[in-house]
Amino acid sequence: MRDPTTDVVSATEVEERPPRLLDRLLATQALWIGLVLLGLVVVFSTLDPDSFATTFNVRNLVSDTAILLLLATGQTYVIITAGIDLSVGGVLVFSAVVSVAVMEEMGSESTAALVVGALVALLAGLAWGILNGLLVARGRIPALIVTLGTLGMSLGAALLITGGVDKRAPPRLNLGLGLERWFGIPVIVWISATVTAVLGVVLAQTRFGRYTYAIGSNADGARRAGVPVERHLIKVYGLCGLLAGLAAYLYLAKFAITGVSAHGTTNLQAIAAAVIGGTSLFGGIGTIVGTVIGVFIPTVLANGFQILGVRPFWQQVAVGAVLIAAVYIDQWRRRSRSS
Amino acid sequence: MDGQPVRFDSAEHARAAGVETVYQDLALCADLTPAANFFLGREILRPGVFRWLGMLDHREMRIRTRQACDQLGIRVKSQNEPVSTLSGGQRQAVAVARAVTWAQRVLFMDEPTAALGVVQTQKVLDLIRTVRDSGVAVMLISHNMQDVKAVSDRIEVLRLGRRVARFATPDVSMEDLVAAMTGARPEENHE
Repeated sequence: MRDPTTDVVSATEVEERPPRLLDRLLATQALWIGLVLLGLVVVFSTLDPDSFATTFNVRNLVSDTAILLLLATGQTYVIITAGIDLSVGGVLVFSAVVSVAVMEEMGSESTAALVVGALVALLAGLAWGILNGLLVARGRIPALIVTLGTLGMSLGAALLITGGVDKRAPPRLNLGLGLERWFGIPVIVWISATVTAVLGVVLAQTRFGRYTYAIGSNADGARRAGVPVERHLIKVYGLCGLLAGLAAYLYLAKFAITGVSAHGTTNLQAIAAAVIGGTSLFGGIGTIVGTVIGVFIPTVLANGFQILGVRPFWQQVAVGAVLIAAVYIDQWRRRSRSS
Repeated sequence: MDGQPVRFDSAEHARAAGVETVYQDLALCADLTPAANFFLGREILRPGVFRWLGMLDHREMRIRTRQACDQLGIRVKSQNEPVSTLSGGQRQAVAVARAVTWAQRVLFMDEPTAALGVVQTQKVLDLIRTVRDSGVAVMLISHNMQDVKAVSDRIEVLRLGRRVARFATPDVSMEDLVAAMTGARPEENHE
């Protein structure tokens, strides 16, 4: 049955090569948004070379972004399944609060207390994530509603535990993990970067990642092809919660407080980062590289405006505009592709 | 199956028993490449440690998809672009090739030619004959009587959800078929 004509044979040889890197890059929103980021950096560096492009400032930038990056990475997975997770800010605060409570109970200063505190934060985040996943996958409730509900529940529960007052993290955590540096880079950044890199590879190279894309692309089709859709969704929401738990512990280390009132818009920042980086709210499309770039754009804008003396409120305006532009481009590309 | 009644609780059970389906809506993931769709739910993993990590063998899957398409005489524009960039006929071809390749015993095809042009329809019909000759039973669901007559051995006519007639293809005329379908000859209801 094999077609004997030569053009098919040569086409075969061409096709068996992996896609060319340049073609792949050009087709991704990550490249374009990466150029925007590069442009911002160049502009700010030129306008104020003495402040912006300094080691001190870059370290600050990266450090500010590390925690949000974890949340945005989890968010990317969830959004690729055509879902959304509004609860990450609440889950972060809840995890931080129970973690501090347990550490205080254990005397705060022992290494054991700090380790158990970390485990508690991770488990609390994971538990909320799995609850989200169960309600979305098995309960068949829209993710928007489920996670809006668990946002309120987790934040409310955290406030109940603390009585609405911020708890302080053990000083040893703050002075240790919070200030520690390897090769001049904060350990918090190392942790966040490593976790993000691993999850980037998982998304692009493993069966877990493949199923994530397949479900967001066509959940019914994936189910008929034998993909365990519900179980996978629970894992993805669980992962997002777990990352919120990790972010909570790093937040405690960096800022020394539970931040009960500091996370009202954290979920939106994480979602914005993923979407600016090219993750499609309709599911099936997105990369971790894009999200990394998407996380940096708001931070670089805020930082640059601050250094240039522009009123910081402009950052919110600019990020909002970038977000809308990113979604518009996604829509436009989908339309041009399907026609 | 093999003269035994079988009952499937899910698509996975049916697939495990060698039954594949081409769905009318194709059930492809538009954002994935043809190879990714081809191996969805049966991914090939890289050998060694990578297998344990669930790492995909993209190259192997791409090559094997290409081979399967070549064998069936199907040309897909690009193996590296998502399915959403392909034409309707090409998508259909990917879905048909996938089901044909994996079907061991029975292949269900729900209106596989509905979205196709004349040439492509002819290809799908040829494909059905090839699959039949390889010993896999093909169940073609269609309202196109030319197609049905062209490839089938036996025809079951369903009307309002019930079987109203059964014909051996060589013995039946187009008029009989249409009559049974439209209910013009209710006396044909016997076995």
